[in-house]
Amino acid sequence: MTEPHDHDHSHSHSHEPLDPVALRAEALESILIERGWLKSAQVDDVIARYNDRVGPMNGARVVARAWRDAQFREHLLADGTDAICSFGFDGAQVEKLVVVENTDKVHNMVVCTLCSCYPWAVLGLPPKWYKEPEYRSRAVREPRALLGDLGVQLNSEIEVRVWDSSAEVRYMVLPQPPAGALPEDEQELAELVSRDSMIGVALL
Amino acid sequence: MTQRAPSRQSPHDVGGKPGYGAPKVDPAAPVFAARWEAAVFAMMRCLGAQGVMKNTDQFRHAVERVDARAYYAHGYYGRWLGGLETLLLEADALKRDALDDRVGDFARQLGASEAEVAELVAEHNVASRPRSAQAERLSASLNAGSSVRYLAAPGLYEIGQQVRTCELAELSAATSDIRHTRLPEYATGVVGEVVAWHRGWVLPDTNAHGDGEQPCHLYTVRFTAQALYGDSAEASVQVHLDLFEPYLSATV
Repeated sequence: MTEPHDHDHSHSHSHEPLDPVALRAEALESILIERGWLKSAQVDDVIARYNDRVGPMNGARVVARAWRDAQFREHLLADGTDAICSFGFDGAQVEKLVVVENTDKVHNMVVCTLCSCYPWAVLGLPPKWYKEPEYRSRAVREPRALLGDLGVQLNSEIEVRVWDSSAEVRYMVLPQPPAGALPEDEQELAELVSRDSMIGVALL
Repeated sequence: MTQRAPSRQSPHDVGGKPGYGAPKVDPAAPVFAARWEAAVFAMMRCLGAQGVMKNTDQFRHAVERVDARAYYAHGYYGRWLGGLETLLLEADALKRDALDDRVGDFARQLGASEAEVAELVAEHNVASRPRSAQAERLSASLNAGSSVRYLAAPGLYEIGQQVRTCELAELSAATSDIRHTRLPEYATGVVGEVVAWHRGWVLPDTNAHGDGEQPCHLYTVRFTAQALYGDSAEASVQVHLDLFEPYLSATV
């Protein structure tokens, strides 16, 4: 962000700094709109979809149900793709979803070292750090140290299982519920579930 | 631990590479930092609908070939943009000059000088490495949207079996081009255990290059950190990858 400043003085850069990537994207967008390949409304749809309808609130509902319903939990761990069908998530396709469960003995975390594959159907689009080389390189090399940097200290007796999404199978972590009494209401329960806990980089 | 051959020129294959620090986490970061990021997302979809992007594997390969500096400097949607522009140029569906001219028009409207315009259009984001020669054979998949394929033949490996991953050189034999693969370098030439079988899927290594879908069995293979990194591994860590059958061989 640039600080507001007085424009009265003579200055060779009288405009905001130009972002070359943003300009290039906007230029290409305008060309594709002129061709009739793209409509501006489709960009608005993307923004609305991934802000309001397809995001970690979906995964949180799945987790909350798994915590409350042992039979659903079993179904979810055995066949995640089938188990989430009943939620009817908005247009979010996932070819194969595998849900891995954190326990007192096992901590799971998800990465995609080659690009940034992520279970869009249940978690929406990935956060920026998930797509950057720091996370992608270290998650498979020194996951304990990486988790420590992210504020998660794991007992050395807990086995760390890293899932590198190298094909089209998508992974989500079923976190352990927070300690203490949990709300009865599934919606209230879902509000306790953070996005990062379902990637496996936070505890609840 | 296996001694590794020098890394191929692939900025995206970053798993296990040393020298990186703590991730920069911003809990308040929005889904899209700016509207143009969502526009890139929408353009990816639109190029699929127009048949310029034939399949996800071809798109990933185009993103992997963007300028190595731009790959990280331009961020996630920036490298997607480089991938889309690469696909458009290679399909002859866009002239580089036409896009540069439009960038110049927009920049001038925002008050850019001619020197700044020249700098902006010199910013390279498209492929710095050529696609493989077979790419013109690409045709839109009849099964667009799904890469699951039924295979009548059983898989070669069973759950519980030990398998060894191949070297990258074995996957790109007979060509000097850098080809798309979903076998990360850090997991080459190591022994692991098959822990899951996912039936048949399109093989990205051929599908990205127009060499057909060549569906094959997909397995989840578990590697101990010791097998991957030797004595420098963290204790009690298992790394799982989803690997296509041609990446694997049975251990004796």
